Amino acid sequence: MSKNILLKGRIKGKLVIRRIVQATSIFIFFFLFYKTTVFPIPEKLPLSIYFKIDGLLAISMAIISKSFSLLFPAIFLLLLIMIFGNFFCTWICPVGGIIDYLCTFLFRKYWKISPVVRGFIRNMGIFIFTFVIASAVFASFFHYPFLGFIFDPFVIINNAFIGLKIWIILFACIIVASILKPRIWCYCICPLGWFYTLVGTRLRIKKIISNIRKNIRENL
Amino acid sequence: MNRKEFLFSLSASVLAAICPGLLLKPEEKSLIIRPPGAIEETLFSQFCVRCGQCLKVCSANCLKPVKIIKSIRNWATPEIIPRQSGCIRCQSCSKVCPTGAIREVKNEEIKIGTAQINTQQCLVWTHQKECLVCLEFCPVQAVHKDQQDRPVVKPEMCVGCGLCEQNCPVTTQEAAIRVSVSGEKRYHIKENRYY
Repeated sequence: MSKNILLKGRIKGKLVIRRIVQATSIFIFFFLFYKTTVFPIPEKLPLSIYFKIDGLLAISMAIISKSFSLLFPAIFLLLLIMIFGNFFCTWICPVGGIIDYLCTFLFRKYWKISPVVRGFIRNMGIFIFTFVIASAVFASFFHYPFLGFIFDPFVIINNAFIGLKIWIILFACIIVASILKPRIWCYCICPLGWFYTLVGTRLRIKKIISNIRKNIRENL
Repeated sequence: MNRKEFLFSLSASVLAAICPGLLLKPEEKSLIIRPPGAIEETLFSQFCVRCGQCLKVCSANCLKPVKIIKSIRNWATPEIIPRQSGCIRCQSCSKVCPTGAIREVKNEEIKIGTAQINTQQCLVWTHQKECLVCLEFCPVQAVHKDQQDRPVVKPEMCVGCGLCEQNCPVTTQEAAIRVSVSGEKRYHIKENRYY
């Protein structure tokens, strides 16, 4: 009993810390957003840091430019994700943070979706992720236009807050879609999330090891 | 997800990536006026991720996203519409571009395009009225007076900033002085040079 209370307290504490980190990230995003609108721009501030650490954009650009120079800021985050698992989406991503905060206030109840619909949405996620990579490959080798930016979360949020109509609609769709399942965009569709989940193997390895241990114990 | 679904998604996405490329051929030269330090046109639509940072940072508010009806390939990439606002060559856009589609170049090397006077619309040329607004606003003194006090553009001096077009008092939609991409310089990635 006391163990359960302790566990619940620990989960709640973790959630509070997570919310604080998310709020900080959102604040930094909007602070940098504001700073890019003032003239002269502060040259010491990394105004495009969110785009530079965007792993999927960095990989796409590396494929298109056939050089690794644009990868550097993103590689640091990718290494951290490789070591600690995909902490970016749940802790740092400002889009995820905004969705989390908005969902807390907007949606009290969520719709029930059938496994078929859920499966379809997840398939769409894989489709979008492979589309981004394929688009970068074709842009690099056949000079096709790169269209992978359309689903990038930072491109969507930045353009939506600039006031460009299509992006506002897309961002509104992301928020509204959360009524099906909290953060359905992040878990099923976001190509950046897919990429970080593929890279951040720590949790998967942990699960595999625990399964192996369990099997060994059962066989003994 | 089973193997069949995965393979279906994979092939559909590859097909979706191929289709726009078959329909939208790369343009070597376009009529879109790009910000200073922009890379060559064939690569621009690939390097530009439409992040909107340049649109946001532009202090003169001269950068606008290309409309889809104007060019599907270049949709949402930045362009200068001089009639709305001219470029002050602050190069803030190059400082915030995360992918290097717009690069910082020497201020004296900038050439976005060239201004041309439409003598049939110009108040001085056609109506013999006193107007030298383009001459006053030109930051590089590329517009000067000829012997009959009419404005003339020196193409080799003009940087194509578009301040003349923005301030032209001709009230029609098209100004009497217009900037085109002719003579523009672009940043060539392979040679690592702006020419």
